Amino acid sequence: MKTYKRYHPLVWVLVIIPILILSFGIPYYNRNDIVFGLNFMSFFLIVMDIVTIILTFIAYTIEQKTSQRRKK
Amino acid sequence: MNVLELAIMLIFIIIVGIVGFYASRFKPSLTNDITEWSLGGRHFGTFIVWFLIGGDVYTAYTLIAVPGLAYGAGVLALFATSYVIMTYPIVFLTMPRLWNAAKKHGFITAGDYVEKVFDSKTLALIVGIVGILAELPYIGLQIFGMNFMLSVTHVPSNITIIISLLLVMGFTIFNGLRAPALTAFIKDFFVWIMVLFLIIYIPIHYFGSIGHMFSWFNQHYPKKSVLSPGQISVFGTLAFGSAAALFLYPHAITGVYSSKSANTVRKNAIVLPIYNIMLLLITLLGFAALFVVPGLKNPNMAFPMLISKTFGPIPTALIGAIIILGSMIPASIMSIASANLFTRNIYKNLINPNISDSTERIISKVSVAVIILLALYLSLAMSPAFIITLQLMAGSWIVQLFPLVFLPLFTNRVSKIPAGIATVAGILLTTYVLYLGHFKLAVYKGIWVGLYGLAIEVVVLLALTFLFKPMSNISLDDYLDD
Repeated sequence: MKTYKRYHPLVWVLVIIPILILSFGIPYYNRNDIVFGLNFMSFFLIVMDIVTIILTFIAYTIEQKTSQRRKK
Repeated sequence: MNVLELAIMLIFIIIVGIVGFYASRFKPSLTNDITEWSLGGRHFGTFIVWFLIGGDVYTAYTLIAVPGLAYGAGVLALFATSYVIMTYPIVFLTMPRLWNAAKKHGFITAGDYVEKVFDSKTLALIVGIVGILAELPYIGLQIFGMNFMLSVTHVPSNITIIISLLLVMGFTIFNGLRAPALTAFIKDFFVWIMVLFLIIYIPIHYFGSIGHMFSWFNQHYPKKSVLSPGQISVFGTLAFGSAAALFLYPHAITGVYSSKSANTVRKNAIVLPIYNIMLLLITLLGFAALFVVPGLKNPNMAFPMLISKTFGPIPTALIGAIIILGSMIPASIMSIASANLFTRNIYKNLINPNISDSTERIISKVSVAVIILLALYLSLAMSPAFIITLQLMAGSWIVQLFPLVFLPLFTNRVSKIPAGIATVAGILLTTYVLYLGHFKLAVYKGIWVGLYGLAIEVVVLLALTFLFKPMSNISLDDYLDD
């Protein structure tokens, strides 16, 4: 099977991490204790949103470098 | 009827209307090409695309329905935040590749891409029909959003809705995608201010702090403050399935195609999640509504009633005006996306493949009017249950386009016949599961209905793919940046 493996493997890993955590980690973040004034689930989702932004930015940086190397 | 309330509404609506009509001067077209009207000439940079996609994903109905779900079902409503967080990594992986192929081959719709990659007008037709069926009730839901909000004001709702949609129709027909791109700035500016004000003011006003609000919520609604064991799979599959589906909606793809480069799309995949904070904050207002207006029969009235009871008529009219803006901009983008699908993937495929660019533009503009009027008719003349059923069906069908739109971005092994059979099987199975739930339930046996169809698609693709030759209509290089 010919697959277009043009993304750096780390790019795949970085962007899939939030999806896996949010999909399969529900039993762990399904809590109602209050953290920094928010219930835990809301707090966790805000943290995951920021983590996703950071991970996607790192993936973007890697993708840019891979792309420049490919052009050379 | 309160004249001051009406005046506030009309001022907002007319300002947006004027800006919408003025939009032709915004990054003016250099050519008379069809992409100028349909996609703003693919000129939009990161900032504009952020507002444009934000404008059509985070709609008025979202602002009403998500707190409503929080009111009715508690923290299950947070699935909406979870799914929009998950969707942007998917956008990062898929959409820049789709944008590159679209730019190189001049695609305007997802159907154009499917037609080229599979060399099949039939598959493009399926994408066109499913896309329009998904958009129509979506526009209808925006009208519901306006209606719910207007029902707590002293403003005649039908007239206000008709005036605002006629303005949308006018500026969309004249200026195409430039109109919602420019007006989205106004909408999102006010929506952000409104949400930040409400999430600070309401918990402090009623509870003393947001932490006290959650303490009260945990104490009085313990079953709503955590997911029950049976809700965990519902939350997970709804979130994952909705994340996979969101950027298969035509209006989301139109927003992506309007970007000026694949890098613009990537940068937006990074910064669009900032909107998710707003979505989460507005969800929390549903919990506050349980304290302020308990016992509502229609949870969708939670947000409007909360606002009305907290602030009284004039501020409610102001917030109502912002909600109306939140309906106008998505309605414009959705009608353009649907019109493009109709003209390029239905009219050209079924009726006349040899139309000129100018005829195509005329048909698209007429289609915008027809689609908005149809959505208006559906939402004013039909029962809310009918629109919600239609949205439920189309929303779970749209994710079945996954093997047609997303898979070919990564492999040339998927070919016309297996992909076509998989998609049809997915749509049929999803419809059957919806039938088992009497077309009322988005979840069947703890799993979002769209995922049943996706599962059968994977099985069909695995069984049939290797019996057919790989496709070679679009080369690998077409997916890469220049």
